[in-house]
Amino acid sequence: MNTFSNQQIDPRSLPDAEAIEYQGVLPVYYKGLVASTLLSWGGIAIMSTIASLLLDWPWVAILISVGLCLVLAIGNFMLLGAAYRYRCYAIREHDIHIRQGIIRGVQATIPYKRIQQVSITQGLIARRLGYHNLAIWTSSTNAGEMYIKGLERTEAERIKAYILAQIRSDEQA
Amino acid sequence: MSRQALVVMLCGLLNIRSLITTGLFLVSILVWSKGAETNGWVLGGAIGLVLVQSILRPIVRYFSLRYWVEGGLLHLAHGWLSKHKLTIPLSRIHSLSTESNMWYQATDMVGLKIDTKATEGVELELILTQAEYDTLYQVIAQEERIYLEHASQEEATPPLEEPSSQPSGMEAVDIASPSAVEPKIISYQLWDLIRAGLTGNHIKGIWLIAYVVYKGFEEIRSLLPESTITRQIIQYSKSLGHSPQVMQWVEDGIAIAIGLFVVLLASAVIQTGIYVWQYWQAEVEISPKRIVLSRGLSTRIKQVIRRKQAVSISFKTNILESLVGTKTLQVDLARSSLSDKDESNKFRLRGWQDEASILDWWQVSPREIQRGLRSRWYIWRLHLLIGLAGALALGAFVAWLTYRGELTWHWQLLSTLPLVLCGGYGWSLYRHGSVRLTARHLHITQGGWARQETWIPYESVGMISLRQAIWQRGTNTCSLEISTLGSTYRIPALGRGEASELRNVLLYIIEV
Repeated sequence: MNTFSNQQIDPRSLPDAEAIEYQGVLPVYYKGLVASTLLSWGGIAIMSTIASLLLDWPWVAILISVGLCLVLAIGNFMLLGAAYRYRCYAIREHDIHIRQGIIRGVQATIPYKRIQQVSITQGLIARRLGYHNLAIWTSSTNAGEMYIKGLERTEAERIKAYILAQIRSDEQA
Repeated sequence: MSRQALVVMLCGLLNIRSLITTGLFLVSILVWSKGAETNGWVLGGAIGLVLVQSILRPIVRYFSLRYWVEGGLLHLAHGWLSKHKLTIPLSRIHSLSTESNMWYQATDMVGLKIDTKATEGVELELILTQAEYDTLYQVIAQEERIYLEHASQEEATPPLEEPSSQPSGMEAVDIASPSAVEPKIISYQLWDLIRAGLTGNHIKGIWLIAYVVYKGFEEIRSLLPESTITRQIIQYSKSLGHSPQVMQWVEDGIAIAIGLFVVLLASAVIQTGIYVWQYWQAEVEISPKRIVLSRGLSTRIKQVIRRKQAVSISFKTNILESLVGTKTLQVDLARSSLSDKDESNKFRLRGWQDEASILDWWQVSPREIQRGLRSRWYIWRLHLLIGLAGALALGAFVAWLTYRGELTWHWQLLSTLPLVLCGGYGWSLYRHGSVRLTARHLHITQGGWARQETWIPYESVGMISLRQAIWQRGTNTCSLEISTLGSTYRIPALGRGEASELRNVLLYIIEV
């Protein structure tokens, strides 16, 4: 019979998630960010032009909306570099950490035990630039999937295989 | 053309969503053209786009889809332009269901839906021949058998919920053994239901009470000439010498306020009536493994909440509920455990008074609290600043109108309203925000005007996030987000270092 033990744990002795060394994503991902932002603002510009032509807006309204869009777009592009540098991830023995976002920065921690499925995706821009995105799906309703974007194919495959192995070993433990 | 292709095309074409989308698209084009002659190519193009989307998308998805089972994993790859490769451990598959509409039957195919807990929808839909379906089902069932055998070995050791004997030298834990508890029955009387209906939404409830008070006040005032409050306000405004423009604003404002008043009043009365109707003679039976609620006047409904389905238990107390001493009980269910994905995963019961019996059922002892954190003053200061900015802006506007001679300085009182509202809300957030660890549960209190107290077992915690917005960096605070199978809970303005330490402890608890 195993001896029952219930030792007190000092929280300061636990592995500190703040001390993690995060890994950045591929530099080419920055180009992907710029391209997708350009596409988004291009779409807004086209839709606004069509709307202003169809609705016959006065020139003052068009000028104000164009000015506002320009300011927002410039602000968005200025933040892209910082957003790229802030986006990173770290793999630990029992969980995975993802850091992203500038305005409302988030550090998400997903224990392997709670991961449901993993997928590797590659959209049009990612295919052109040659990077991959890894999506991790947890069982949490509102959290949905968490993405590690801007990975090399081999790196994405390696992380995926490691997560799946951890899930399997957790089930067998 | 293969049978699969035929079924995919037919299902895509006759998909109810695509029909509705096409219909709505046509209606919107006709409405937009306002009866004028609609350009033929625009209409044709729009219909073509919708139909191509309805048919082409499922076909592209279907024929680019490849799946295979290898090493206990189900792999899927699909997409031509945009590539997706999904891997699901077979043990994580939550349900397998088959569909057989008339197209499937005509072509002798089977529609298979594979679902995990990852999303609220179905992860994968396949159209297979009977032989393909049988093979895939066998592989998944085989994997599940291995998993179940392993799980049954784990269950051979006595679970913590029902200890067979107390280990010697172990301190007694204040948790009643569920098997020893007799089912407890709590019945609702008519007054309980009316009170619950009225207090469920405090804004509407306050409005109803305000109306009753107002009517009483008006009855007394009606003994005097020129008595109604409305007339008094208008006369008072006139006496202050406001311009006709401002008098028009006052009259419009009063009309809008009366309209809002009537809508809220009707809504409060109707909702209370509906609540009484739906929960007539409500009876709650609390057994160790389930809660059974019987209710209803026209149709007697019996709702069963199993302990295994429940993810968290919450008690919500708004201003009115705290005055009358009741709470709203909320049980969050695992979304994935529901057979109907559109069904609400929240079970709510207003007017609850017996908090202790539910905490017993959930095996919570409030005295177990070991360590915890509270929201910091910063959250109140932030809301005061927002309120102050609003007050200054409104004050400047009122001052401008006063300078133009359209308002008197009395109206400056109105500019304090944003400060009072934001300050009050921020104070409530500060007072209510806390997170604590107990032996088995995470205890979270949160909320603005209404306080919500939640107990989440550690095994239900799915993801932990620390959020730090730009404006929080200077104060070194952050918000802690706990995502579960049912909901996400957020505790604002915690100290960054302490929240990080709490996350470390939580991760340790989850792992062990």
